[in-house]
Amino acid sequence: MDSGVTLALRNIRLQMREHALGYAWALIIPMLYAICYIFIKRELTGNATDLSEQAGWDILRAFAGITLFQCWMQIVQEMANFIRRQRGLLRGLDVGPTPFVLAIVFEGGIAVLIRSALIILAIPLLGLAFPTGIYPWLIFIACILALLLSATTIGLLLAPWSVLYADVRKALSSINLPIVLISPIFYPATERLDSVLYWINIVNPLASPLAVLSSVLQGQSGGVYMLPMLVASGISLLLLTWLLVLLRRQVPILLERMGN
Amino acid sequence: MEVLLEVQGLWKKYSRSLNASVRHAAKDLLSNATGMTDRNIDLRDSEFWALRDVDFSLRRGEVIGVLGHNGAGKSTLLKCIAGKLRADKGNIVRRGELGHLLEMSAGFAPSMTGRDNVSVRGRLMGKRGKDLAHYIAQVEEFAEIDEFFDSPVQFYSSGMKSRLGFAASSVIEPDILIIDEVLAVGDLAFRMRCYERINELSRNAAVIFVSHSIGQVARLCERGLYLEKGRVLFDGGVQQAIELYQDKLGHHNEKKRGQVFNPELVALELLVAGSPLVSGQPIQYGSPLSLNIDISKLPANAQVRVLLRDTAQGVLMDWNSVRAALAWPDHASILHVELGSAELSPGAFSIAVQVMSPDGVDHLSLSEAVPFRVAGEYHYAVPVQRAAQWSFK
Repeated sequence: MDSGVTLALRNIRLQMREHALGYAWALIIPMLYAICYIFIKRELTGNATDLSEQAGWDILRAFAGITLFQCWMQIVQEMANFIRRQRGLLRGLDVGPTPFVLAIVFEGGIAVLIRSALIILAIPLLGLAFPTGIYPWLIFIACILALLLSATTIGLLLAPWSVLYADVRKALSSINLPIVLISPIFYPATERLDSVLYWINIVNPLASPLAVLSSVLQGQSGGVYMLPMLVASGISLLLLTWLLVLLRRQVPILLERMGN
Repeated sequence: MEVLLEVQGLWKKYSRSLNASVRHAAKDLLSNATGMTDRNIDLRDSEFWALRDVDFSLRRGEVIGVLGHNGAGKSTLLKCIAGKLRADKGNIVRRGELGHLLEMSAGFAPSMTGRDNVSVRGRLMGKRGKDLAHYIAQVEEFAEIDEFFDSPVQFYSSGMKSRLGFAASSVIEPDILIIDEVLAVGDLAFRMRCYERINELSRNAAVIFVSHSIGQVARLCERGLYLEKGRVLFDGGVQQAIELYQDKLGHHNEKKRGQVFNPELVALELLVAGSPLVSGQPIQYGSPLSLNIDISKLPANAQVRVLLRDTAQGVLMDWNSVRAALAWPDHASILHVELGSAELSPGAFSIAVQVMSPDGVDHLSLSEAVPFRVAGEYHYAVPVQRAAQWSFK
């Protein structure tokens, strides 16, 4: 755990040192998306200056969705590439792969917390009301944890294959738009059982937490996506435990494959 | 003394082909994931054994030198022992803490200072508080890179990086220490301190050491392991292991013709104590050497150089006829040269003759090399070891 925190702090310091704007990038990109979305929405609604409450929730959903999606994707990519990136330390020190995984989870956790704060901050800024009671906030936290868990698991599942096949890295960097389009970010999650999109969203690990999040922020119960989110999180947790056990045996095979 | 390391019937294979290695790695990952790991498998296409049935053990206080030519499996053996590679068959039993000086500079973040990198490394090694501060101070003192310790690593010279890497990795006190070709860093003074540090560490640890430098092996080890094509050919005293290594090096040297230029113009015969050199028979330290050179095809007054070379083709000594103010007779077919005694350390050498035009401008010939081996006890890494008259006053 300590080693994981050390590596996470090292990575954060490196990012802050290597980027002039440091961690401000965590704010800049989602803000840019939100501004673009508001601008396009206004243009499409004939430059209406006063947006309805529903339009406000639409903007919040898009802002929260794109912000969390970006963070989710970053965790997947970091996790998928960590063996290749950290091969020097993996070879040079006897720490094993677990601290590196923990470091990415910690970093991801911090990034998700910053984005969650931004989403909460956006609620009053858009003239919307905070959900009342403790239940919506507990579900909010559960959605954030579900996203962190699914990103970690998918990234770790891809990590060994990303070492062997450059296609994995290529696919991860090219798949952003299709995932955004099939996730309930720029449109509300459909609950129609006869819709193919509904079933796609059920198996899409990003879709159910985003749908539940959007629903509870509007004071609703979480809808039909609550169960898929909980089931997916349970499966993710089991898979993650298994992958961490496997990884210790897989790393020597992969280090050998990467050569000197 | 207790046995700290046991290597039992170790086999390790590699693939020669990139595509096949990816395919095999993918298959290994899948079989690992499904729990169908079969480590007792045969070679697959394009694979070869890098280690074959390696067996040895090491006690506390023992320092073993692993010798062998390129591709013999030395580094693979160390990586398997360090757990960086997975052996295909066999077992490695380690008792106690393992430390290794492998890829020491690896993992340093270029934009972070030496101090920050060392601090991260210390934390990853489990050090905290005063322990960590002491570790950083020790590394700073050992590396001797002064104010650069607080500069980003990307501004270091390669020597500085190696110093920092060695210092950060060697300030440890493991039970089993693995060292791979690391002492060739920095200047002579730093190298001497590295030797000293290794000696300190080896007093209370089992040390396994790989180097191509016979001098380093002879200096640090009392036991030698000779590997050839992944197999242990010898395990015993370091002097015998070095002898075997030199012997094999000599065989290799004898097979090489070396670079030649108009070799038909000159022929030579190496004499040891007045008798022609018997091929394959090593000569003893101090044996008198001379050379008969057939000069019948050379122009009069040509400049003749006799070159003594090591196995890397580096010229160790040069006897030049110009320095002897040689006057060529009208009719001569053999030029005899007394070269003095073979005051050379054990190893493989060769002698060749280079002929220049009388004015020393044009190359006329470079003969085929005559390889020979010197036998005896190894004392230091310097190939030419002159005898002297020593006395007390």
